[in-house]
Amino acid sequence: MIEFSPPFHPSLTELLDLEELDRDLYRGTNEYPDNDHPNLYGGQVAAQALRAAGLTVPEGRHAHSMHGYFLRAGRRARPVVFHVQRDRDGRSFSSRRVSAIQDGEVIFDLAASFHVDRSGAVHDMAMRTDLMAPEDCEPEPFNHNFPSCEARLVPPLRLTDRGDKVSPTVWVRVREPLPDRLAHACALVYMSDISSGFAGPDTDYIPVRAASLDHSMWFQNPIRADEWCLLDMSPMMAGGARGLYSGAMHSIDGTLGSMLTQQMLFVE
Amino acid sequence: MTTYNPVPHLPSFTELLDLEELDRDLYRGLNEIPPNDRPTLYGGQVAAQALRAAGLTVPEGRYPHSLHSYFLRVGQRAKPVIYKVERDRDGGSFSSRRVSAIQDGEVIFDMSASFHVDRTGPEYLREMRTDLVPPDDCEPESFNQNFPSCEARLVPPLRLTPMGRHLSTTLWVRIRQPLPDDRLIQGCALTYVSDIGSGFTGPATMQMPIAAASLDHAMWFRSPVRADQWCLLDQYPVMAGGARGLYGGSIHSADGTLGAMLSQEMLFREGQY
Repeated sequence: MIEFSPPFHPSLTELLDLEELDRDLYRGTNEYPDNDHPNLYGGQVAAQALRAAGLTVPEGRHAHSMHGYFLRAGRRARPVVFHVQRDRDGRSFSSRRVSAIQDGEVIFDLAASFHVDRSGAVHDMAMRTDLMAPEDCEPEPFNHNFPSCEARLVPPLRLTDRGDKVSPTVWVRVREPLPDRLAHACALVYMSDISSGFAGPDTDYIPVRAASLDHSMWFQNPIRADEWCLLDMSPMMAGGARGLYSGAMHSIDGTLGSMLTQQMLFVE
Repeated sequence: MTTYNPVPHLPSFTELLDLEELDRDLYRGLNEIPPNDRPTLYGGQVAAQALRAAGLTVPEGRYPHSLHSYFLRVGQRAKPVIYKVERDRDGGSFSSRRVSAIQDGEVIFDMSASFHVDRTGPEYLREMRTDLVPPDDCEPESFNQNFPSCEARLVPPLRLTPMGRHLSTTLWVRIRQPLPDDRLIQGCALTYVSDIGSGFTGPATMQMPIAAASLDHAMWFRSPVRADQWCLLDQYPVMAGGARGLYGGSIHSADGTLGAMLSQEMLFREGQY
């Protein structure tokens, strides 16, 4: 059986180049930074799962939404197998479910929907414009956990109890050029699991340790994930040791790429 | 195969949730037949029954805290819906389930839901609006016949449709029958009422179409609130484009306790109401 060992730094394009084991059954490679962190970054698994779903969809249908649950910790040392179920191919929508599997157990499950391009009424969430440029922002301190992308913290920054700087607003871009529209959407997914909406000035509490529980994204315009994008998040509610936040991803020119929500578990 | 006599029949909400267990993890539900003979199922009924089916397979002391679902095909009122539950995981404090709602061998709706033990932790919430006309002074929701288990009232400001109907993004809602003091049933009831209205029917989005079909629906539960007493369903637009619209919302009890937050993406359709 394949084993990965650190340091191993495939590009995001290589991460998304899934091996087709059989119809609707895929296997991915893992990035494995040399930082004693044996668990998979959730954004990598979510991005690969969306890729697997998209590979089974008729041409001209593009990801418009996905909902995933993180069920078990994934391990960087072992490849993840993605099993796609074709729930429906309608006239303009295709629906897929994907189980991401390690050791015979589902570590992540995804439902995703693909739609043909249509025109319709537009309602946009405008991007904030009072932002420090990416070149002037300092690197995200946990960037080594998701090495395929570059992340910069937009001020105002807050300090965790351990002295790490955090912000709910982050400039992000994938380090290498990406090949196609599905890959750009998968790259937005990859980058959308960075930081949290609870890292900002709205909340007293900064989760130093937290686990992603669920993650949803809704895509609007195709934007390039290999150029700077703004990931801007805000808290929605917290209670019962869980926190829900939402966020938006815009291209640097202000085009809305996607909205997201995540619920996380606050770990003592 | 069971078919329903298309005579208007209103099973109580607890009867809707009283699913028949066909086998382990396999259930069948009754449908409500509304007075207007609408042949298709109300999505909130299917979502509520699916959450109920998932919850029936979960260890005691674990309560629904989130669900994510897709509406895949139109459901028919004339046939019962089968709910097939898959047990994705039972961990130390979480249980995860997937439910397929099936008619004629096809999945009409699929849901992932998660259940958690009660824990304490940091608190954050947004306050409920307080400048609201009370339910007794609000007029009934125009489409209330489509979801007869619930009573819905429109909170002003109202939007007038070309056909002369009123709409609002903010509604008072309550289940008509008293519900048992059971957190799963109360969670299912919030799910039932959460598919009413839309975040795009307010004055801020007058250019938006009114006719729409639900595509996906997600809920995150916070404090247990009683759905058989007036709750405020308050919704707002998030984004729209590509013939789709995404909105968010919250459900509070009348005393301001946050019961759940929700999001829904819908497909805009041609049509007048």
